[in-house]
Amino acid sequence: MANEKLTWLELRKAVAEYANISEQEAGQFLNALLDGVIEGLKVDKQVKIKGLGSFSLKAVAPRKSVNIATGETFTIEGYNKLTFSAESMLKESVEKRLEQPRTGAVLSELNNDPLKKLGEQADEIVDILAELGQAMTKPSLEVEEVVEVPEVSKEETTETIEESASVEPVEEPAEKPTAKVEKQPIVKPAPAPKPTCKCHKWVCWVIFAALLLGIAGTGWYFRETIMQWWQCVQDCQQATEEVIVEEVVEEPIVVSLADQPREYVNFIGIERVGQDSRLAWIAYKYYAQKDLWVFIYEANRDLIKHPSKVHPGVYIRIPELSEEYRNLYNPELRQLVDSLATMYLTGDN
Amino acid sequence: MKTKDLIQHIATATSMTKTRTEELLDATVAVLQKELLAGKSVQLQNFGTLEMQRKAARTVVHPKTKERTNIPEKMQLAFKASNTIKEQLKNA
Repeated sequence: MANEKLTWLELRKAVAEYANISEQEAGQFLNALLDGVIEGLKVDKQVKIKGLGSFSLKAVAPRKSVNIATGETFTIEGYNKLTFSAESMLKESVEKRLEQPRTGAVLSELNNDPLKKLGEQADEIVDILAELGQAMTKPSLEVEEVVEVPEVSKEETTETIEESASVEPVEEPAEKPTAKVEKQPIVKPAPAPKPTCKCHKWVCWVIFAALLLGIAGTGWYFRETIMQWWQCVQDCQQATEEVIVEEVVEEPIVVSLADQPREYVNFIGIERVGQDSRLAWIAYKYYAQKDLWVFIYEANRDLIKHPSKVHPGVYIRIPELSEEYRNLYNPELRQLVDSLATMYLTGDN
Repeated sequence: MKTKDLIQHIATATSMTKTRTEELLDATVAVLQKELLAGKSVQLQNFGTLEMQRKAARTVVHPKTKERTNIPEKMQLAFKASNTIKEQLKNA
């Protein structure tokens, strides 16, 4: 369709032949016609040509846009758009030129009803699935249910009621006239299959009873050893309690960090105090804990008068700290460090 | 601008009589119709292209009722403006 092009020259020729004039004249006329149209558009913004249609100018408002490469916003200037709309007569005759309708048109002829909504389609699919499911489950036991023991059947019926409740609402919308799949008459939902359930229960009971018997028997057989074991356990518990008591007694002896005399014998380094050095930073450098500066201070009491007045150029010794003096998660040490810090900083000593 | 005004305009521009201009315009329109309906695309120099186009079938959804309707395919007369005319009329 529309593969062939009619060029300007061909059009000129065709018009010339049609009106019995020379091609030159036709060309002049056509040029004048287009100029006239453009002129008319500039004046009126619309030009109507009888038998063809109307050309009109539509204003497109300026709008903002974003340069996706750079993310800058810029404005697209407003402009006029030239549009064409065919005259209704021509439009109709154009529409009649439709070739053999293709698939879309065929479908529309077959099914003139409005197409189904998405939800309805989903319902249909659910229906079809439900039918399939029924077909699968139906041939199971309906007979056995009737014969069953009242206790069991009660459970069963409640279950089936639940099941049918869940199935039925799905089934109703399936009666739509537009359903494509041929529908069987609605069958009451078959009771849910519980194959060999009865036998299973009996077997379970028997096994359970046997197990109970076995446990009781073994218990009787090993009663003496069990008693011994129980006594042993009780003894052990008592023993552990004693141990705990002992530990509790020991603890204060171990933890009294604050009372221990601190002696700085071993040193891990010597640091020259610079212009901007602070004890806290030196401590951070060596111990990875700023708060431990107090021990550095203690080790250099003879060199440093006050922890905030460290004179540049002084060489201070960095004491080696044992593990228990470095673990600040120990509340004891934390308390000690804090109290020392406040004490030294206030300069009471 | 109506056809009448257009004829007047062309007549004054080409110093032809109005009747003659009208005849020629009718001839042009007739040729255009014939060629377009024959399925050809007609090129108008420095103005644009007119052609018949097939619009594919599509489905529309009514936003309120969610009803879906099939719109069958159809033929349409389409116009594509040339770049020259676009520039000319940009700020008209």
